[in-house]
Amino acid sequence: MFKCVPCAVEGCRRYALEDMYTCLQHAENSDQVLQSLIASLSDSHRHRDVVMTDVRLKDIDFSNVHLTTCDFARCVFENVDFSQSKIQACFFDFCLFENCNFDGSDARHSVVAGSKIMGCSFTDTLLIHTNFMGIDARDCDFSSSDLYYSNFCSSHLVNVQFVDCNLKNADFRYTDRQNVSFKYSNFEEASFS
Amino acid sequence: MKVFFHFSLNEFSNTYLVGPEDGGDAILIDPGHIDLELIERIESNRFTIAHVLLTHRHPSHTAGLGTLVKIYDPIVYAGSPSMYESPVKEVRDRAILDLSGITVEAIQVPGHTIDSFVYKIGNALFTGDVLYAGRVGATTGVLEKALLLKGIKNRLLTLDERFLIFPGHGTISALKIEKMFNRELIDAMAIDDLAQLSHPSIMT
Repeated sequence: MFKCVPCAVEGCRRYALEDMYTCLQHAENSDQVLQSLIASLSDSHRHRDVVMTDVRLKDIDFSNVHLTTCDFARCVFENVDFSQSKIQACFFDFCLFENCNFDGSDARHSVVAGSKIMGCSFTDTLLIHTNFMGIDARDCDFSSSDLYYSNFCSSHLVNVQFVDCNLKNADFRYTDRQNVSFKYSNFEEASFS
Repeated sequence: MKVFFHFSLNEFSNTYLVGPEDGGDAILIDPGHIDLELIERIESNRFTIAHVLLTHRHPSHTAGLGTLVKIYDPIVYAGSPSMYESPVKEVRDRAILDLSGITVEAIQVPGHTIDSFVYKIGNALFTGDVLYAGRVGATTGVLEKALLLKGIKNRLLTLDERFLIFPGHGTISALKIEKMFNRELIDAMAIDDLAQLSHPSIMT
């Protein structure tokens, strides 16, 4: 699990980067550190316990990345490609995802709670035991995905497709749904009340 | 510190494996079911299960204990030692345990069962059936529910909201997420606030 070492700068509530004393925002040459972090994450090796919070990432190719127990809380992801990636037990809480692609990825045991997700595709994705509590999702497609034991409690879903998904033990209690389709999915095995 | 999540299809419960980066003595939390996948996870990380922490007495969290003690001979810690067939070391509220270099704080939060404990390790809370993502633990009556909610309010919600939550069932979460989106918790806290406004001594 990622280490929660506080940033050395007084008053900063973010966590320090791995092997550093400060968070990314307070690092010397933070742009350079960010670019090297992105380059390192983009390769096909497995990365564990990376802390990269509160950053804005645009037009990045993270397809086929392999991330385990990392913290990406409060990041902005714009047009980022996570397709075919393996993202296990990672925290993406309170992020903004815009036009991102997770098709064919394995994001099991991860946490996406509190995020705003717009125009993103999660088709054919393994999202078992994934926490989507309180998300605000618009124009998203989760079709053909395995959402076994996933949790969408208290989320706001508009124009979201769950076509032909496994929804066994998925939790949709207290959700606000507009134009949400569960066609061909086993929604009777999910919890709505 | 490494934390591994293991899901048991037997009772839909979560088991957690916590150990040092480079292998060695590790902790297993709530061995609901011991299967080959879990054994392979333990062995491939060069762990030896030296300690077992039980969050409470229910079989979905303890049924694998019989198999486990035959393989690893760990020291088992739980709230009600008399409830178990094999020897168990009693853990007390607010106890600080040093388990092979890993510091564990035991926090008793009764309600789901009288012996329910939450274990704090680093930035993680292993909540058992006290608090899940989007739910609070089930109880057998209103008094037990009040006891559980009081415990969650006074013992867990007072912690740093960045603490990660590893529950006995369901998805992993964080304290901030539960404070913001766990409707059962939000409703209960709102009722508690109202009760305190009219009868300040009731819930304190």
